[in-house]
Amino acid sequence: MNSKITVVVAIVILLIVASGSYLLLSKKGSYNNQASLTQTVASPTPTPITNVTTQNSDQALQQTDSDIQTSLNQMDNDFNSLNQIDTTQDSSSTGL
Amino acid sequence: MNNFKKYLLTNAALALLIGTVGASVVTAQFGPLEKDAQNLNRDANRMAAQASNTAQRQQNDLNNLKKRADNLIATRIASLQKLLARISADNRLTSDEKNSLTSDVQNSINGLNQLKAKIDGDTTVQDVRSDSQQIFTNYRIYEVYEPKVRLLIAIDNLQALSTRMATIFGKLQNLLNNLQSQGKNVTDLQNLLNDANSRLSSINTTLSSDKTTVLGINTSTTNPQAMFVQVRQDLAQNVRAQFAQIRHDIGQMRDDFKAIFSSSSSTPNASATPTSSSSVTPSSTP
Repeated sequence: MNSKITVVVAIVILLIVASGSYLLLSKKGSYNNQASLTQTVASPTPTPITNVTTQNSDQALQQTDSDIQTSLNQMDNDFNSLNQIDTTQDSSSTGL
Repeated sequence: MNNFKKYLLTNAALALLIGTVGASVVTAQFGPLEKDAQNLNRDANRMAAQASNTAQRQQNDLNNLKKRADNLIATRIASLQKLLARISADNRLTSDEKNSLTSDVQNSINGLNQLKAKIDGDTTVQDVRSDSQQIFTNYRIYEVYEPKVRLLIAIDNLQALSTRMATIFGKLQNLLNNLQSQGKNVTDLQNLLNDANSRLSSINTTLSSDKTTVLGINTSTTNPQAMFVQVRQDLAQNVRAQFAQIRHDIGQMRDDFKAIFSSSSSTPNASATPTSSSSVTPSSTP
């Protein structure tokens, strides 16, 4: 009887340790993914301007100018990613 | 009695002689056969061992080929996963554009996984070779697919930018109309806005044409690189130059607005002369 209880307790402890480890590892994975995503796209979402008035016309134009610059920078980043693609990997002379 | 002994001895000697001769005859008759049988047995064992080695070698070849094909598929799926992350993290694409691109990439991942399962189940080297060729013929991830999707992302982003700008320009037009109705001289501002709108229209035409070109590229396209290069040049040179001019217009408009707003209310028809311009040099590097 005692030995049965010992086995059950051991299994429960094992499950708790395993769950803890799993949660820790999962958190680390999410953190890495988030870092990777941040690295992939850094451009912020532009805040839409509801109406252009005499008061905010300069801000609207400045924001549009900034939006253009950010989008062109993003395009450059995409082009850099394109440059890093090794198209020769799709050559069929890979030993298969 | 002596005769009987002699008889027995003679018979015994005769039997011995017959036995010896018989044994010799049997040995002479069947000895070589036994040797042949031993040789045959040895040959058979050697051939069986050779066959076993050949089968083992073929199995090794099969496993190695499968492993190589699996690796090729795994690297491609990893690249596609990065593309998915790129699309998912984009704050500027519309949800429709994101869904369309994501679905497309996911279909390719599913297809590659199915191909992997097929290859893993293949039982001959020929089948593995044949199926593996699909990696290069049906998918062409690096040569066609990834450049295509990345260019589509870039174009979609620029189209989204263009849409936002058109909205702002519409609101600026309303403001100019209001100012004009108040007696302000907005001629220069109107010219600048017209120029910006005209350039935006030109950008839209280029982007639309480039998108059609990119969407038309598929795994059967003979020389996709030439088309990709053409589109990249369009974006990096033509579109960028047009955006640079629009930024120039925007810089002048900011100065003009400041001049109008700072002008005395007693001079409603004050001219809005541009005083400075933003210096935007378009980069021509594709």
